[in-house]
Amino acid sequence: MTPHLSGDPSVWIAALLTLAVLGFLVKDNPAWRIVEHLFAGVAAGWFLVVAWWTVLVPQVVRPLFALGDGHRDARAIALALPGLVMPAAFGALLFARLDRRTAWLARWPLAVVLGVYTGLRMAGFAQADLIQQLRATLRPLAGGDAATTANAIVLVLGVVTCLLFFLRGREPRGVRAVPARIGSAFLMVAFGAAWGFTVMSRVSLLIGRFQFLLFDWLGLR
Amino acid sequence: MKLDRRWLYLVLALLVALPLLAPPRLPLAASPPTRAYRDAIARVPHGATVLVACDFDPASAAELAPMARATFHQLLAGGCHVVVVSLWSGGAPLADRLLREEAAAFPGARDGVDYVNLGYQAGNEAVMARLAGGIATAFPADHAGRPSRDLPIVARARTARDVALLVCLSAGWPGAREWLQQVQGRAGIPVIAGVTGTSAPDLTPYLASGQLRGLLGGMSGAAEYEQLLGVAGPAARGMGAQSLAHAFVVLCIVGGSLAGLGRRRAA
Amino acid sequence: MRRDGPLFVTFVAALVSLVAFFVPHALVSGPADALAGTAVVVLACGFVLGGIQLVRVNLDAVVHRREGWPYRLVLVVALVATVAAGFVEGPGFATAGTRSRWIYDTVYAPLAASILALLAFFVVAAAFRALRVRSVATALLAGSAVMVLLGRVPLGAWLTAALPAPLRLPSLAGWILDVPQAAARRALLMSAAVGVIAAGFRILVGIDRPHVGNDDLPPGSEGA
Repeated sequence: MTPHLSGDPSVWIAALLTLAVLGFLVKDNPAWRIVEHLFAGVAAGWFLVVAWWTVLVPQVVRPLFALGDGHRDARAIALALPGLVMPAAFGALLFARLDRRTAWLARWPLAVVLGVYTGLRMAGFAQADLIQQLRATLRPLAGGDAATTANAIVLVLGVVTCLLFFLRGREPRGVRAVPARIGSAFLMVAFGAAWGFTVMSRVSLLIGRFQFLLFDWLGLR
Repeated sequence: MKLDRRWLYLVLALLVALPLLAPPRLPLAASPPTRAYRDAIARVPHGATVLVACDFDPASAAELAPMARATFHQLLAGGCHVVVVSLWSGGAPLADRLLREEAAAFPGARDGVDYVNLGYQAGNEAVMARLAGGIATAFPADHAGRPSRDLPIVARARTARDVALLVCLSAGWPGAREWLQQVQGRAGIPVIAGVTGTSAPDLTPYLASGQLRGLLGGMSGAAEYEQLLGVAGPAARGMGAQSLAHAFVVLCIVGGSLAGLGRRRAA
Repeated sequence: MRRDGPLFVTFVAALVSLVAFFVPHALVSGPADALAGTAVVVLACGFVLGGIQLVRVNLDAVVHRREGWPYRLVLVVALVATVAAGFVEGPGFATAGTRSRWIYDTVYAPLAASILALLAFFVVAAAFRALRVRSVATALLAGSAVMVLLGRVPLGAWLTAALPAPLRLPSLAGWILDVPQAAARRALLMSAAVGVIAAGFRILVGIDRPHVGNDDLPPGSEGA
């Protein structure tokens, strides 16, 4: 297997940046500190540019300028203005945080954001996570083969005992502690499975990086 | 004697690198959630519009890029119209590259007519909620800056209700769970998801309740999906490295427990 | 007015967004969409504000030669260069062939992927040092992790190929995920949903007011 090094300078830059990051595993060093700050700067700059061109320009700047282009009558402008003024005004108020004396003005746009997401999340969680999950738990246990019935019983047992574990209040003793302990066992199994999947996820990311270094940079195929 | 953890790092690096260079032949069987994911896409009628939410960035590309690529392949091969959106600001260019590379294999597929990348929008759940009022309202311009309303593919499927299937490829928040909460609850459309390994266990209750019709979990899910489609992809090629790395982690758990037991007995 | 005004805005925005989920009528969905659009613009302004603050803080450190100032200079230069390239390219800044896209593909993407890939090494170290079987609970946790780790990769199927199908590692891992793990997750989801609804109600009626503070409440009543 002979290496065919990439001739693309971008690939070489990406490879060297990758090696600089992996060098942190040996010890903290200046190369790692540089790429760490480079990433922070590029990421912040990218988010800013994306916000400008994908949100602020098409939804605020361009429509506001279009109102004054002379192609619309007064009625059309009056109808369109409220829908544009509200986002533009609240968005502008957020920048009041740049000065300590005017920072209190930023409470208004934050109030809109907090209110909107509170309403959306209450509805979303109630519908998808509470009602739908409750309906799925309160299905008939029997019906289907023995394995399906057994699994359904274990599932319901797990849900009920885990809920009892969360709601147990003062630590129960004796027989009354048994349901919560069963729930605790279900939770340990769940956390173990979650940890296994997390390991799988992290290892996959490393495989991705090695695939780039070995195949795209060094050309070892 | 305390073990320097850098020895563990070195062993892991070797166990990942060597199988990539000489992949072992190991059997790979698709799990039921992966088959369900494939079948959900196969059931979409020819010419119907599918909304694909690419909510991931380059940090999770190793797991989700193979899923995205294979998903675009199956959708375009099935004659579906693909509308790609992203709620992660670092994800839209990556999704764009994957979509165009797959679309290049289908010369009859036209940008703006058969597929489009509507790019990124800030706002998470608020953007999802706006989809009910109109896809062009939520995403006013596409990735290249063209007004969405002028695109034939968006004129054909105006709101979330006009979409035959929602595919969520997500690395965290906002992601599949939020799409289920905000869009499926309002529009009632079928939803499938491809997620990172970290997120997969969180979504199993939705799969069990039927809110999700199919689920790909991590690189192994991507590998199973690639194999089902007969596509030679990077996920399947990485399974040898994944296997050996996992075996090493299991040995570390066993070894660490035995070391701890020995220390307690000595004490 | 400084407090009551924003609290009233939060109440209206939350109520309209909540009702619009269940009532698709234009009288509700129109204002809800306008509020959602406003929230989207505010969040985008937040990104811009964050970038400005980042430059201010780090530039101040560079000018006053505080510790680590050369690295902070790298951060500022990288941020300014990325923003400049993006503004010059225009609305199609992220399409293939632009300077912005080059920065994304060559610098941002590999660094993002590599930094997260470091975690693979740290979880291995954690597996050796921290995940030790000491009790029934940790045995369950470790056992479940081992089943999933081996069952979700081809190695698990290969190791247990001679066993009956239900006893093979992939089947066992699948059962763990679909039954006991899903049961615990469902309980977690439902409990969290109740918590979100309760917390949302407190914000809606103004009991919790993170954006305006609790200075005007009597001492000891903040959690009521």
